[in-house]
Amino acid sequence: MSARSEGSWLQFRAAVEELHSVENDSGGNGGPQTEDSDFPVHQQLRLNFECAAHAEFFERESRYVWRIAPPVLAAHPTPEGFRAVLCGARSPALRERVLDAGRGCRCESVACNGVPDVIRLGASSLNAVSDAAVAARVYFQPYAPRAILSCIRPYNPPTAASLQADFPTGDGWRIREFDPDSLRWKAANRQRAQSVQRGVVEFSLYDDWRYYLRSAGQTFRLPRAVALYALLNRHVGLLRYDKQAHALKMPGTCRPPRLLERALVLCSGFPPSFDPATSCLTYADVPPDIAGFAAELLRQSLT
Amino acid sequence: MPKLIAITLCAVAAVLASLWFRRRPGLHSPPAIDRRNDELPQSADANANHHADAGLSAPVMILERQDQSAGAPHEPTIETSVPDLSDVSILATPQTVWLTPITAGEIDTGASLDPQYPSGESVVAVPAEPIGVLPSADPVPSLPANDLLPGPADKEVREPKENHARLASPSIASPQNDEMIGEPGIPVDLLEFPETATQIPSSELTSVAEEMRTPDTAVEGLTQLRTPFRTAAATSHHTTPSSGRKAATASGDGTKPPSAVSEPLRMARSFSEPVPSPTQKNGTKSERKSDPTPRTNSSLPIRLQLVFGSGGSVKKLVLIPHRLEEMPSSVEVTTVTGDCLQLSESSSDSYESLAVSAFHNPLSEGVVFQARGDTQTWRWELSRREIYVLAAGDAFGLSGFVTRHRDQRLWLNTRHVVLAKERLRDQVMGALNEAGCGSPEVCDSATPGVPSGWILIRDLIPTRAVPMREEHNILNVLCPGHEIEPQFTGGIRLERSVWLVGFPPRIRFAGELENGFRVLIDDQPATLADDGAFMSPGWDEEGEHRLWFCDRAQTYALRTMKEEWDTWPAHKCGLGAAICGASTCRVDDVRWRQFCIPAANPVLIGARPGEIFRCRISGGAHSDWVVTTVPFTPVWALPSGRLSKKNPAAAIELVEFREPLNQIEGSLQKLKVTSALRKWVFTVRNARRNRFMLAVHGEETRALWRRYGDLAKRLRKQLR
Repeated sequence: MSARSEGSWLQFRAAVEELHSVENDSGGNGGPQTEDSDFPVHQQLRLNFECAAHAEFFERESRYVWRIAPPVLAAHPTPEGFRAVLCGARSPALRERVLDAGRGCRCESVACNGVPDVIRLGASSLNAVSDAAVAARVYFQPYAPRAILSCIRPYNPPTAASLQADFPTGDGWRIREFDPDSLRWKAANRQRAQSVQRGVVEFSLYDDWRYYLRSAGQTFRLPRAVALYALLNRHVGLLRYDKQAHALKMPGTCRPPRLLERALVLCSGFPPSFDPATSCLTYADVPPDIAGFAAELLRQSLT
Repeated sequence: MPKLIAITLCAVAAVLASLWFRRRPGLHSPPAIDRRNDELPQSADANANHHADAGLSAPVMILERQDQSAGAPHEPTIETSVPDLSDVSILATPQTVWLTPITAGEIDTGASLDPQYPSGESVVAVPAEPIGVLPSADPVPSLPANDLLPGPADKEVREPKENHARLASPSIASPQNDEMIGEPGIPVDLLEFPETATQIPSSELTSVAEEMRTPDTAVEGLTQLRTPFRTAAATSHHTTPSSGRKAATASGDGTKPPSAVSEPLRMARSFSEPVPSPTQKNGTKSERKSDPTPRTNSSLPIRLQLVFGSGGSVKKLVLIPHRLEEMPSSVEVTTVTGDCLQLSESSSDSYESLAVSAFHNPLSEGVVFQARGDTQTWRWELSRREIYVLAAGDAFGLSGFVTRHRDQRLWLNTRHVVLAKERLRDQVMGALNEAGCGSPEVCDSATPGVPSGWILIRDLIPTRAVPMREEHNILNVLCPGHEIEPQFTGGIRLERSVWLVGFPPRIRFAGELENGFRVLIDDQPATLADDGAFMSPGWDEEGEHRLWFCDRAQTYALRTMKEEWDTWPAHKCGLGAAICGASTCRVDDVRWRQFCIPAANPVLIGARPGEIFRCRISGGAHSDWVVTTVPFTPVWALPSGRLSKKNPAAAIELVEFREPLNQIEGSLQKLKVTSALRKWVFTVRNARRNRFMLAVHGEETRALWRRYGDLAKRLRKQLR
């Protein structure tokens, strides 16, 4: 991706499938594979690349495309000083430069499943990290999580002035409603969707997924995470923060919006981990102020 | 009659409004400035340069939702009257954080402003910009640590650790913060992509099957809703009527998209079996180059690709239309049944794959597409046949197995799979046995993914050359020739014959390699590696290389990665800021510096009179500290509210220790009185007069603050 800089979404998907097929191809001749999920690998990689700030996926001229982000050492304060995570494009030469520049710092390259190696630099001062960025000839973004969060507006429920929408027409739509008590989706029908006063309804047909927030009898089409957090405004116990481990936890169904998630991921450089026992997502190394900042944007309280 | 009265009343109202505006020059056709405009265009910023902050007693009115049809915007006349300086609390006017245009650096001091910052720029505070664009050779204009710290001379100011401690564990803003309540809650303007599951490791998804099926469109954006990713034909198995497709047709290169051909197409031709030819020879081949003079009709092949899945099933059986370099990135084609399909570029030499299952009996009856451009017509064809030979795809930059464009016979010492009609099973197996393929595994249509009526024979590696049978014998494709062909496998392929340095391909040969088989790479003898690949000194270095064998030559190239990755406003967040990757930047590409400031102190004062800046903080402060971009180096960060008993914590933060620039004395003629200068004076004097506390009580800090107050006092006298 770094070599190509940009391309279409379909190219990305095809390339991922090609690589995935090669990796799973034992002997290259149709041996057993270890596919254990129908979750598309290309979607999972896209999410990882986005939340780790390596690439952006967006629409341009009616085409969905991806573009590699410029290389950035994204720094933020830690209890030990400052830590910087290498994000964005990387060439072999750039990687070597960063590792060389990081010799004066605590430099580590950690292999992680589903994302490129996480390269992190640690130093006692911001100057040391910025000097490393100068030496490696990469951008430097101080206080990256805070900078991103500073750009994001709070996820408030839409107002009456917001653009309203109608449910999709036609047959075949699978309809589900989000249960704010159990934080699960449950089956619903069109009649129920139209009668609910406050809730989030999902309409899905093949690969078309649409989310609608019903608020005071009005209907707003929103992205999933935005709709859910608008519904779960000040939901008690939704976000939990472990002050000892500096870990922010939330239910797997309530994954945050992607830019906010990016800020959380940049604290550690690693995508969130999922605990199947508790169905919780955990974001590691999140400082308390960043956790609080994120919670405020999501209109939640930390517990 | 009522209509006439209404028209008359409207006309009178218009005349009165016109007269009213003329009498108030500051209000004459003011440019409309929308406080809620999330993406302030540069023109709006430029106009805003002439508008004072409404919260700072703006001399011109800033209209909320001003009717855009009020005529062409005129440059407003700046009201030169001295603003009311009696009360600093006007700084705290609610909502003014959304639009606080302040003119910076308009004082003619005789000395040039710091070239690092735009002088006279319209400045609107926005959060976070990367600390600079990094030219490949230039050092990164990074933020020095002391940007956030006071000067070393002040002994009582915060030390870095102290600063860090404050940053690390600030108290969280109260949820009841008035500034947050009532925010319209317009999320970040983003594009939406479907996310068909939560970001959960695949191995852990089994226990949360519901979540796996749940798309997670965790994308902000209230207004720009997008349809999900277009379902490729490879997976959708749908075709769309021409009329429906045309609207979506878009050529990626911006040219007029080629149209499909309306006249009916001919069916696919029968496959022309290889024929024995004593004259068949290994002629010198060169890299295929694009035709400089486009032909009016181009006939292009369609590859068949097969990828195995788990358990030996066929995961993918698709058609890959070929693409030439000069062809558009998106093209609409018609099929023999009259359907229209949209082909989009997948790589430099292919369009996106199309599932075999999307067509009616394509293997037996063949497939034909046709499209017409401005100057030529393209025709793609997969000829109908009963035996398909597919070679390992990595030599063609593809996974699995694919049909070759030319010479679709078996190749010696190369792994293949064969798709053949069920009825030809015995003949095919016999031919393969003759070619030394051993005992290959045969799968019938009971195997998932194998088309009905066909068998799939895999794990074929021919070891014997077999002379072809009589002309047009269907089994000739199973007669491996002795011809030698190079195979470039693996590596990271950038273009057709270009690979990334450090990730070169392995160079092997298919065919009957005799004992004296010689290979030269860049005129140096190549040696055989353990894996059967040929190498020579420097064969994998950057540049173009020449491969020579059997009196033939072929070139390949290795190229380094160009580190040309620029920042662009990927996610415009409003407030004039954008996020790109891990960095934030201004949408207008102005290079400002980033500072982390207390959210309660959004009014920033620079060393030069006139350098005043009010940060726009999104929806109120959600954290004690926010990152913002400033067009100058701030020295002081002032609280937005008045110091009072109700607000005892309000204190002035020292951002960077800098002496005030007192360069305007004695040259009042040169002093360009601007609203920014007045605001600077007003703000500093009022902060002094209201006895704002200093957050750090160092003697040097207090002395510095006094000097700023003295300068402001002198300037006010000059301004009178």
